[in-house]
Amino acid sequence: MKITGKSVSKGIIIGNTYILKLQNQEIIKENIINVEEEIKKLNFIKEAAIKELDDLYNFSKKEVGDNEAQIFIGHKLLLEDNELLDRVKEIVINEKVNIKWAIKKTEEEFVSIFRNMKNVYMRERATDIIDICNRLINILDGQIDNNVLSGIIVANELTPSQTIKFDKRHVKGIITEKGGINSHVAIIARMLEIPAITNVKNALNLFNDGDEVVIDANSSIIILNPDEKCIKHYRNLKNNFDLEKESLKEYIGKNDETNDGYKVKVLSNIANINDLKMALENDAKGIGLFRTEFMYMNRTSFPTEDEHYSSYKYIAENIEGPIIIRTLDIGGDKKVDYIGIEKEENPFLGYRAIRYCLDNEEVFVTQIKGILRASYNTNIKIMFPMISSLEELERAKVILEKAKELLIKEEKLFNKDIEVGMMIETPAAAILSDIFAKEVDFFSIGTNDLIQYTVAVDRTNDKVENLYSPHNLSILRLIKNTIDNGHKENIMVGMCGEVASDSKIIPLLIGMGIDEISVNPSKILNIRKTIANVNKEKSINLYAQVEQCKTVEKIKKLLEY
Amino acid sequence: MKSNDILYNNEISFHVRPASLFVNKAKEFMCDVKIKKGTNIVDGKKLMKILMLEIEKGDFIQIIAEGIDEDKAIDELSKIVSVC
Repeated sequence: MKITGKSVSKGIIIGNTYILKLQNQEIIKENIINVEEEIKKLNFIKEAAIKELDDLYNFSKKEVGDNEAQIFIGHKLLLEDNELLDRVKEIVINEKVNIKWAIKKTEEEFVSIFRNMKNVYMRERATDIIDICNRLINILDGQIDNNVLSGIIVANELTPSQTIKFDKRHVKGIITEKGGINSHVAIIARMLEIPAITNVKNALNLFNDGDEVVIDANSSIIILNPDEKCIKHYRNLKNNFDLEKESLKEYIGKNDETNDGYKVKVLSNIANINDLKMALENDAKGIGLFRTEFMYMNRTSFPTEDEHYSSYKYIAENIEGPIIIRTLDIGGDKKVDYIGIEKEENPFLGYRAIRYCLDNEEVFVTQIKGILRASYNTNIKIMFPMISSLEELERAKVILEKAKELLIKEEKLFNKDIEVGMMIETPAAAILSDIFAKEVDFFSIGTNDLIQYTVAVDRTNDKVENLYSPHNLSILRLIKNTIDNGHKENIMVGMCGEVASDSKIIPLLIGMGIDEISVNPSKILNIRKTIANVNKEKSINLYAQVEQCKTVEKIKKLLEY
Repeated sequence: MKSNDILYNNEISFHVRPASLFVNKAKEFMCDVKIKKGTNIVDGKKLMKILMLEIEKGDFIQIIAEGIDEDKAIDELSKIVSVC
């Protein structure tokens, strides 16, 4: 039987279920005569719970990081607040009942308040209330949870306290009825690298303890009671998936070079701190593209020079290798009100990126000054987006000089020889790359936009998205010309578009002479492995063959798609 | 007394995790701290009260501090809400 849900952590596993039933122990209402004694107990369990939470916080800080561990501080604060406990006290005093029952009633009241909130994040907080109250009741019962959770856990939902206990030697997979992509379940599952599928309607009724299941979290499917054929099929899939993952891990710490010793650096594209973390985990040899527009989003005013400086400095302090910072590349397609770009008919052909910056010098200078200050004693480089004419580049460089002069006046340090590069993402820039190569220290080919502008296709338009292809010979010619022109002037030519993460096109790119490849963190090891299996000498004549093929279909065939 | 108006612009609502960072910081100060949303004003050192405000993206809130270290409090607490 096939069951679907939402995959929140990839992988495949075949195993047996372990049903985590809801905390449904009967809590009996008892009449209490000595209310004061009962209240004293409350203070005792409050202190015990706070101690438990402190321990849990310290433990999970090490296991899963401060961000996730913070939730236990939240639980502690909710106890210290006294609002929950005051209500428990009130019930005990007014109704003269046992604390356990009062806690249960309080839990129901608060859970109801949260579940009725408009906002989905707030509604999920009901889980936290349940978690806290369970903790208090468990302390009352003197219950130490000795059950070793193992196998494939099936539950309605999982609280932070439950997930933190998961040992990946025992817990092999997770199936829950609730929980989004950013819930505790999801985060812990990904951290432990175990497959997890949530949003499985009625999971607790569909599965019994000990059922044999297959979880294919790569396709969001669960198979209940699989037959022999099915099990064999998935065992194979699982082996392949696990082997691939392990073999990629081997590439951590390895050099970026072809099998005949040519160096092709593999760097990471990033937009924020999380991306940086992933880049480091995957052994990126630097940052090939820092998309700074994300620093301008989700706020109501421009980032200050100091904010720029500290963000860039943070990155430089945490990763070695080159760090290419691209200046603001934003347009009417992103909703950022304070920037003042009005709604346009054609935002991709409009007032964006370098055009906006050259027109708003103060904003531009602020960012450049931040980049310059962070460049002192670091490997930071600056890159301008969407250049389409020599005048634009020249104006940008004049503003860069202005920023340098201001910093000298302010007696702030910066790298006077900071490398300056540009994106080759407009056909204009690619066609004039011979002229531009004399004016910059490096190129980075942005294939996403280059393809759209050159083939004249909107890749988000269903009707024409199949025309969006790097295998259109025009694109490959532009890339080849750019690389050749760049090398004539001895400058570095890299690529940061999605094409760079397509392993089948890597041999061609290497044959053309690409110097650097920058990809999303999750692709780094895959590309490193691909490069290691390419022989550059043998790939050099690939381009000539591509020219002979002429059509997209023939080119794809040549490149073994 | 000092106050600061902020547009809460974070995708993630002001729930347990971000709000507890706020409360922990608020507790470090001697002054009174309050958060106002609309006509509701609550004690900024009480997590449950803040959660009940249901602060989400697009809400205008006001942080109010009164006491000896109110300037520092407003400064640091405002930073937490915007960086969340």
